[in-house]
Amino acid sequence: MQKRKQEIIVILLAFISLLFISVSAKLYLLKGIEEMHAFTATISNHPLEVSNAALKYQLELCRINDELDLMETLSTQERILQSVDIIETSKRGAEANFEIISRLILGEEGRVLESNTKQEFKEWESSINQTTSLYLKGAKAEAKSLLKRQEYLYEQLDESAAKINRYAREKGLFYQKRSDDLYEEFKRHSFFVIMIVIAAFGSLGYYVVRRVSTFMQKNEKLTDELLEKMRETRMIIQEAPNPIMLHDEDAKVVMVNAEWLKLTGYDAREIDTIEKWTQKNNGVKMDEGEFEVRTKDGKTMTWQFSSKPLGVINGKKTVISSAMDVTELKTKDELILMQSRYVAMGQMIGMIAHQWRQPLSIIAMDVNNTLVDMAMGKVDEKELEKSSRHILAQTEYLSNTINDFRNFFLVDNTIQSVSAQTVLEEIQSLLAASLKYHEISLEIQNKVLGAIAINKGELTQVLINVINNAKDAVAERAKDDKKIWIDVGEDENSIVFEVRDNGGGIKTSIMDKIFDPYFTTKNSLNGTGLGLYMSKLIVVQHFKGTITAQNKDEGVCFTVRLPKQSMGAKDA
Amino acid sequence: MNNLTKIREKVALLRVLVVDDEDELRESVIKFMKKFFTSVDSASNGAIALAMLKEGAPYDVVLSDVRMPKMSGWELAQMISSLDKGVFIALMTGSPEMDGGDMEHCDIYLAKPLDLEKMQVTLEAIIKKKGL
Repeated sequence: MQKRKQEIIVILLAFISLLFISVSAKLYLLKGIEEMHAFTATISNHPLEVSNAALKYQLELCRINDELDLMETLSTQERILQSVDIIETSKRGAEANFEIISRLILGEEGRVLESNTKQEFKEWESSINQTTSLYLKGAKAEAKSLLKRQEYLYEQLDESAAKINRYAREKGLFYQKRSDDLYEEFKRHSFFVIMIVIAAFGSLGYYVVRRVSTFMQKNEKLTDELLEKMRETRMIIQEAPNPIMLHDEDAKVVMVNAEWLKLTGYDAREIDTIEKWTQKNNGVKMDEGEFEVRTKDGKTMTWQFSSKPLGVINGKKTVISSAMDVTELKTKDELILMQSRYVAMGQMIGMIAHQWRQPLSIIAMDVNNTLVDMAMGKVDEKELEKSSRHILAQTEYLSNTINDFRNFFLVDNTIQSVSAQTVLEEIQSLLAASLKYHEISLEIQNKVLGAIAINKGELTQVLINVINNAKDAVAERAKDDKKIWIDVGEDENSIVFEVRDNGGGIKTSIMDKIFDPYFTTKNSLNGTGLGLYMSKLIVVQHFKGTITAQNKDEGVCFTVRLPKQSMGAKDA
Repeated sequence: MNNLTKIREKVALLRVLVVDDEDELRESVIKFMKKFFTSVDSASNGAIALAMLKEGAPYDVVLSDVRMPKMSGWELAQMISSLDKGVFIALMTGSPEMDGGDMEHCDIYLAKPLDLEKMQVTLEAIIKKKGL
């Protein structure tokens, strides 16, 4: 973008420069014409007028001279007077022309010529005046004696006038030549400037045309690519394995893909607006989350919707909605949930069996003792009472245990404030007999003293599943010191339950499968493959936490990390 | 009943050692055994029982729980058998289907709880082994 701006600025500057050059050239041209005009005026007026005046001046001088020569031959006074008049008239004509010369003659040389001529004319005029007055007096002989000098002065004066004429003509020719030279020079310069301007405009034009052409080519290529991409995008959406719909801000369905139509059974025209689609689904507006979708033939499916604005397409804000058909998954989830309940129940029965085995044996022994006494006829009343009280104490213990298990198994969705210690103690109580039966010692270390807000039943279920997993791993090993450790701690964001054992660990090749449903390494008696799956489901979906496993020391370590934010952990 | 009395008379003087890690249950078993034997001792685990035997305590019958920490009933039976083949060894368990083992060193394998019927069979086996 920056590069393009720079380019535009450069082009603008180039045009402005060219404009400046063109205007300058024009101004130069005007100046040239002006100068030429001035020269032409000078040529046409001054030198030629001077030259003409010089010629006329010569002519008048010649006339005066001829008239003087003629006067010698005139006999009458009247004729002489006529000649004098002619001479006077020619004199005035000569003076008038000389005045033009004086006024218009140019240059130092011209001025000198004019001045000399003027001086010579005065001399000659004086001589003429003298001659004419002698003729008028009738003194012809005296007048004739002056003629020689007078002739000399005339020739001198005529020569000067001729000089002025030549000078003026030469000056005129010089100006003419100078004007022609100037004009030629101007023509050459103009041609040169024009060539530069043409070259500059040509280059700029070529550059602009080339740029525009490149840009158009690129544009054309991009348009083709864009069309191809649009076609591909349309195809991807159309052929996508999930239902996808695009609608605009006017709730008009812009596009609905094949999978959507296939699953619902509708024709695209039947659901060409959001309103029509919503109506077909009992008015339920579907944007985010799980919704029941009704097909054309009345079946119900569960779709998981998600929507996102796509921006402006064809001038309208457009939204894309995609869905996932989770009908089967949901059924499967429900099945797994049910199975996991059975698993939990089975685990509970197993734990009850362990818990009850001992007190039942004790009760049975008490009864058998009495029976033997009876068989031997040695029934002692005090002994019988003692035995009966012993049996009662055992049954009370049994009753308490069954309450513990029933509380654990109750489906309770409430979130309650509970300390980690309470949860750990209950777990220890529930598992004590089972762990003892398997000769496993349980070591608990709890550093979390504050109360946490959580579904206690679910947390207990998660921990019992993980501990049972550890118990099975440890029990299978022929080891003297079978151990499970539970460490509860916390960091800034989470409360962390760690369950470790020394049961030998999990093979790395199956580590990433242990949380999959129905995955088990145990025989069918011990494992259903749902315990860890359910634990993960509860931790991730209900507690928004994580559960991970890794081999550590001699066994495996399960880490349940529960975010404090979602549990509203409180200080003690 | 006369039969039971006769049997009891034959075994009454045999010295019995009861081995069980569960205190309350062990006491019930001792009480039960005392109805048949006059001399009944007890040990809370296999190691103590073995130490008592090694120290020369002359027991004719050892009645032991199978599932105990450190040493199981089956291991104890094998050790006793290697010490003295004449000792009658009876093993009892709360879960007979789970705790089964090699019967080579064990004279009788009983499911808890003990009752008169099981005791009668046990006493007959003791009489047979001891040639009373």
